[in-house]
Amino acid sequence: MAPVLSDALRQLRASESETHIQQVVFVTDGSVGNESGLLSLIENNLGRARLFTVGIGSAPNSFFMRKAAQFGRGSFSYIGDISDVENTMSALFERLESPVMTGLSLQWPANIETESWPQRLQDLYRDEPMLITAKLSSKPKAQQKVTLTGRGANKSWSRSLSLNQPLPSKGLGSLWARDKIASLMDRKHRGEAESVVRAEVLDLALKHSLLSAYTSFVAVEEKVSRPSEKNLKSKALPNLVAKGQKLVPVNLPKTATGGLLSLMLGSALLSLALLLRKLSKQRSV
Amino acid sequence: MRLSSMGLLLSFTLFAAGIWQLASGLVIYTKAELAQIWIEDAWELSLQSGKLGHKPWFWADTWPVAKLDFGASPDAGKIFYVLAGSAGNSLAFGPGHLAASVLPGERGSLMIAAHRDTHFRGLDQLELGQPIRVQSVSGQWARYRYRDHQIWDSRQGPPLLDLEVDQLLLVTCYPFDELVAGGPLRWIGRAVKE
Repeated sequence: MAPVLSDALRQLRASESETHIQQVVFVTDGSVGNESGLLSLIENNLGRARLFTVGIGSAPNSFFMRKAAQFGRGSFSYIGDISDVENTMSALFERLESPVMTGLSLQWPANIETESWPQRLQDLYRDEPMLITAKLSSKPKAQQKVTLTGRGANKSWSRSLSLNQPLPSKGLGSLWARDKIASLMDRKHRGEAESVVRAEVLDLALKHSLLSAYTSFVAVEEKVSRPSEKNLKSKALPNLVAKGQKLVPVNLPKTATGGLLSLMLGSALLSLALLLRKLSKQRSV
Repeated sequence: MRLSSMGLLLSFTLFAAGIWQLASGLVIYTKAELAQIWIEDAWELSLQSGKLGHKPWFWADTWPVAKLDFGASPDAGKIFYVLAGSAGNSLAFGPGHLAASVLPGERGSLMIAAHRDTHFRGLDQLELGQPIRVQSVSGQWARYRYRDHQIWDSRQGPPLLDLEVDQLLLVTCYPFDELVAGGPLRWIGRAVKE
């Protein structure tokens, strides 16, 4: 994949322009390896262009294709069945033809420190939502606003949201932490040392009870099903039969005779009889 | 005097029991060896007529269904005439054909059983790839090559087998050097069709 991609990106840079958006669509039904190398290639060479990825079938690595699109500020489309190709591709091209807004940025009130994800906002296409999670250092006062600005077709756009009525919600913390973990993992893909990333992810995941590359859930049954002093029940389970195979139980016959045993027993008895005869003869003499 | 007559009686009883045991053992092996000679004649008749059901002797309750050859070339090596049915009445005189399996010459799995200490003695010496041939009543030979074996414990119930596979399964008791009859283990050798 690397030669194709770097070739495409080089051609793009030759025709770069301030006023147009450049878009690359990468379609594959093959498997893609060398994730980190390719991601840093995209990161370093994409410039102002956008990368859209399309994976067909089960071979392409969905994680990589999604990440590549994210690093390329585009989107990832997955086509599971060949009959979906037309629908998915026409939906993708419709999106590509209708970018709504670019150069998006968010302004928070000046006296509040924030940590918001994603840090680099994606372009918006038609019918697309924008979801941002942020942690604020203090509770915002009334009249404080957050302002989103962007550039639409030939004009700038801005919208302000009042922060004075935050609704309490239980899962928000986890959502924010999950976004932060994802961006920390991206830093690892961009080449940051794993030890640094691991420490930060671990801290965050443990604090918010989240699954991550370095944490997992362990389920412990509260009710004791089998006391440790009791034996396990063992039972033979039938194997699953392959489709189209018919297995028939066949009774096996008895396939041994006692012939050899009889011969040995007979010889032993005869020897014993002869021995007895000899002994009694000796005594009578 | 009384003591010696008791000793005489005892030694006579032992002698009689010994003769009886020896004889019954010998009968088993003699039957197994000699019967094959008469069965060979019955098989020749079956081949000539092209039909099964020729009894080797007039009071027999079984008849030959195949000729089994463990040698490489025709009429070289160990030859057995396989009888219909795999109960004791057949196995006393020759290897028996399991009625659950296909008839020789048909597609599918052919199963033949015999006593481990008569006709199938030394079956564990079969070598990988050794040719085994089976002649059906049409006179045609099917060629198989020995592949592998499994030990089945019949206390688990009957084995589940795929009888649609073209193969020859040879069944006998295991272990081969066990003296007492009636054990639960079976040796199932598999030869695949060429």
